[in-house]
Amino acid sequence: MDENKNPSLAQILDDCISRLQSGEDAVDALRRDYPQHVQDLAPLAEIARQMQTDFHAPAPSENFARNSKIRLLNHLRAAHVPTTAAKSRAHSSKRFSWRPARAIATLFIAFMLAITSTGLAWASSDALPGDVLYPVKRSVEEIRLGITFSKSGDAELLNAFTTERMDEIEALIFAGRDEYLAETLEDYEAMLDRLVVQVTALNQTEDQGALEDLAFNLSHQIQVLERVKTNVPENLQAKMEEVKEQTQHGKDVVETIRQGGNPSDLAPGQIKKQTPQSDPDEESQGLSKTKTPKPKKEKTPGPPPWANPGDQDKKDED
Amino acid sequence: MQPLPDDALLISLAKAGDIEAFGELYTRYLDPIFRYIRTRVSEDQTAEDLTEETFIRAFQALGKYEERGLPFSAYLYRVTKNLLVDHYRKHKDEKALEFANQIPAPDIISDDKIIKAERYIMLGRAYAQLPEDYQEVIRLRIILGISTAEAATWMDRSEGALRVLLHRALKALRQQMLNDG
Repeated sequence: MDENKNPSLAQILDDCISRLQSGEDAVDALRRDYPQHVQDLAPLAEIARQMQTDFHAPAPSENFARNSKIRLLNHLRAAHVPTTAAKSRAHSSKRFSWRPARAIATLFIAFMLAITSTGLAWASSDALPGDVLYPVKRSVEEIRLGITFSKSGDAELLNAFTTERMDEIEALIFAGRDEYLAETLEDYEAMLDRLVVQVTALNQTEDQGALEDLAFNLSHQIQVLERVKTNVPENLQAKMEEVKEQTQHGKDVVETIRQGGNPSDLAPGQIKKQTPQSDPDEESQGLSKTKTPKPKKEKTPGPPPWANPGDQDKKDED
Repeated sequence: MQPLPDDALLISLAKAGDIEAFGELYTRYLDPIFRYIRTRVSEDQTAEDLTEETFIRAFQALGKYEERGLPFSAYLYRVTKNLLVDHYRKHKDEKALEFANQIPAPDIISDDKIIKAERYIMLGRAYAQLPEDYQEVIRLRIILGISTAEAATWMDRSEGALRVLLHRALKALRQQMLNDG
């Protein structure tokens, strides 16, 4: 076959195959529309028809289609699988390249952020839980978290928002708006959890400044919790204690990283012997390296049903 | 009725971590990806496992996906191909079966249509001896019924080049059948 003729023959054959897929008889169509090419193309169209008939690729079963999506999404949620975008964002401070499209997109985002955060922050920055503008305030926080470009940037923002939650707790207590207190304490804990996760990615030398700020703020928050606890309703006293211990744990993690240690040494369940009131001086002398119990652990009277009984014996011995 | 969000919107939401948006993309592309994988492996269960793994990998690498006018299916196809390479590396025995038994035979034997059965075997054997790109274009255009435009993006060729490839592939298949006689 002449190679130069292939494109036109190829086009005709492709057309026949498309017709075959829409239910037409490809060979009939060929005879009707391209009689001069029947001899060349009819055998090929016939093979295509046979392939299509005999080699049918089955679709996924209904059962699989239904269940696999649920399974997949649960897996992605549980694994917190970071997208490459998120990974690259974490390193982008070092390898950010100012390609034109990216530069424009970044400037656009910065511009939108300036408008959005300025306007909304102005309107909602003083909002407390229960206020109409409070959801706006929280949304602005999430947007800002979504567009930070480094781990230390994320940690700084989470540090600021954790402090913000603590200010809200204090304000709610002194305004007597106790009905929102439990929820705000939960929000504070959730924000603190995110902060601690982010902190573990920081580096002792590169992020020294951020770590110092974090340690200072968390100490301050412990002091605030201590100061306001007498004004908290009785039914929230235990919760306040739990939050305080969790904050102390966060501070221990920060201090451990500051001193070049491994935060995994602070595994929940290891008991820290400390006085109820933390003394910042003592902590700076090394007591902060001791272990802090995870508050939720204390609430559990015994081991979970799936726990190894041997582990419990060992814990009892401790 | 509210129009469905387009792929570009869903992709940008998924890139930002919106797992539900990725779930919608999964619903849209489950069928072609599963069917493609099913033509490359010998069992439904393996195809199901690889399909799920494909989407997990696609989600993890979503940051690498850039809008350049290519359909999202082309990106998924690339992820799938890489996954299949890994799969065959781990299951070398299955590679031998790849071209022989990967597509379940229709009920030709139970219908007692022996001629059809012979043709099926002959066609499968001839197909298995074709070069990989010939097999792939036949798989996409004829077995899976994917449009020329989409198959061209999947195989990273122009539409014209894909048509030429298909023409050559079918000619080679016919010649192989004649040779096997």
